[in-house]
Amino acid sequence: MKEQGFFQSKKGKTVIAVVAIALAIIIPLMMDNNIIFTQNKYFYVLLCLIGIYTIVTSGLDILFGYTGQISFGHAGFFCIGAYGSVLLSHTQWGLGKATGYVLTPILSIFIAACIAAAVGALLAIPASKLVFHFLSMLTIAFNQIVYLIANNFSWLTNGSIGITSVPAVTLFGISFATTTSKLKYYYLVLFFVVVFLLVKTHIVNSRVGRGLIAIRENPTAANGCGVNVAKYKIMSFAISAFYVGFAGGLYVHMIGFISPDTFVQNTSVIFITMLLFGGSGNLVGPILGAAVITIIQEGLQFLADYRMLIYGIVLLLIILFQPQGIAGLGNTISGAVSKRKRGAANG
Amino acid sequence: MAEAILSIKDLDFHYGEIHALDKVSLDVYKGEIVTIIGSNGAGKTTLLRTISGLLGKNTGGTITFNGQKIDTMAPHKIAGLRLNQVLEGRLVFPLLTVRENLMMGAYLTKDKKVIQDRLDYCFELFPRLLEREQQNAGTLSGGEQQMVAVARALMSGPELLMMDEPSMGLAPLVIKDIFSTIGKINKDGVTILLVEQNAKAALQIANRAYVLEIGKIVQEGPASELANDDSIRKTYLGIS
Repeated sequence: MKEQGFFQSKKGKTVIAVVAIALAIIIPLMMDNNIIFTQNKYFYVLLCLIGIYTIVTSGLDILFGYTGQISFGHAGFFCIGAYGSVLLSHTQWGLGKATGYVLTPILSIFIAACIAAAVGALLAIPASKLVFHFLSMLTIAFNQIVYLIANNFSWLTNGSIGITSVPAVTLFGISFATTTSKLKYYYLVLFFVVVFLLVKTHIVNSRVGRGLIAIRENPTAANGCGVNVAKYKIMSFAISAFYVGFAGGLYVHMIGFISPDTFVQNTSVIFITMLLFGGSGNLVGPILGAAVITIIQEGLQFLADYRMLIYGIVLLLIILFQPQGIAGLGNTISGAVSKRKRGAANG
Repeated sequence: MAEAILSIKDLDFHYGEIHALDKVSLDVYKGEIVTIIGSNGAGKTTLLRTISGLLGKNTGGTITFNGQKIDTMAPHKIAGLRLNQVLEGRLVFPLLTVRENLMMGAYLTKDKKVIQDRLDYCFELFPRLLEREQQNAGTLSGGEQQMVAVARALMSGPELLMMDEPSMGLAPLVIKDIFSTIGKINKDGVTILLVEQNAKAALQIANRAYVLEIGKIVQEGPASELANDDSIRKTYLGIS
């Protein structure tokens, strides 16, 4: 048996998770009351983005990290979730324009995410027959189609001008308008991050999760073991799309404005970068990747389009030298240390 | 003899233009070891994969397993019928541990007690795998990976086990072990359909044999008879 430290055990992991959640709750609260650091509204936006991208990356991880299916088109699902929720909740557009009735934003986000999941399942029917490079092409094309619809169907989306005054989320009479309190919205996002991560943990540890991992490892052998490969690939696509669609909804109700530019193919590449950077096929990797890349991205605003160059280099370095992402850094370091120790003992 | 456990009649299979299986008929009876020998490209792997449904629809003929027609069934359903295959080239799940690999074999089995019994049986059959239980299967040697592949198939509790070239790329000593294990599994009640290029070893343990040449069955009979057949000795055993 492998030796397991406390932090690798189930109990240890639960303790870490609880501490992390507690810190995520307490630190911003202390900041808000000027106990530590100074109050900085922008910082909450950053935290919200990290939370939203954590949901995106975790969803992508179910598809890529666990099922082994690549997607360079997840910005398409992000777009469907975002526009879907706006069109269901805005009084002047979509449902509101057509019928005069609108849905309350949290419900609209949920339904938009369901639509994203349904589209994901539909896309997966042809996609489940494709392997890596062809799947990449298909998902890129999907992203492009969704983007073009958002950009050109002006009657529906107001085209490249976009839609302003997206309604704020209201839950149980509490308004989560980011114009008044960004901290509240952060807690809303944090709540969903925790829910989505719990659901993900549950999925990947279930029988379905074992089937997904088997597909990643070897689809033919998985099929021979009795895994319905096509069905599970479709499920994986749909779940993944639901995550990303939901995150798209959370995103747009935070920003309060939507335009097609957010959902270009570059965004999909950034999602993949986050996942590879953080490390796929585990719980922590997507969180780390989302956090680090979001911070780099915001910190490098002044570089404009040259940021893609930085991503390219970062991605290359990670793939070459740290294929497990920064979540695997601990393993790499402890591996190197024990190697040196062994070397010292032998030499 | 009793009713055949697996019965194939006039099976055809095409890869596009290529006629890979041409009216193949064969029967496997309960408790037997039946071997299909043939050279590279004869269609041996195609035949097994068609039976287990991995290649999609066959283009003609019928496959019956335990009285049930399975030639249009999806592979994951066939796997649930206790007709299982050890795939060619030791297709293990490389990043899963040996134990996780074996547990995948029992994917369709829900009864924990049954799973544990099968696990015990596999570890008794391959004590080496017990030593390597927590190791990733991709880090094992070729022979050990073949053990994982066989054990994983056994974890599904097969009535009929189809094995595709279990000796491929293995050292002679390891091959000997694998073949004696096949004999043992058979004694424990599993019927075996064995596809092999190593005709000598296969004919030694089999009861009956079929010879497959470019998609056609050209000869069949008791294994001992075929082992002494002149043309077979020349073509497949390298003895003149």
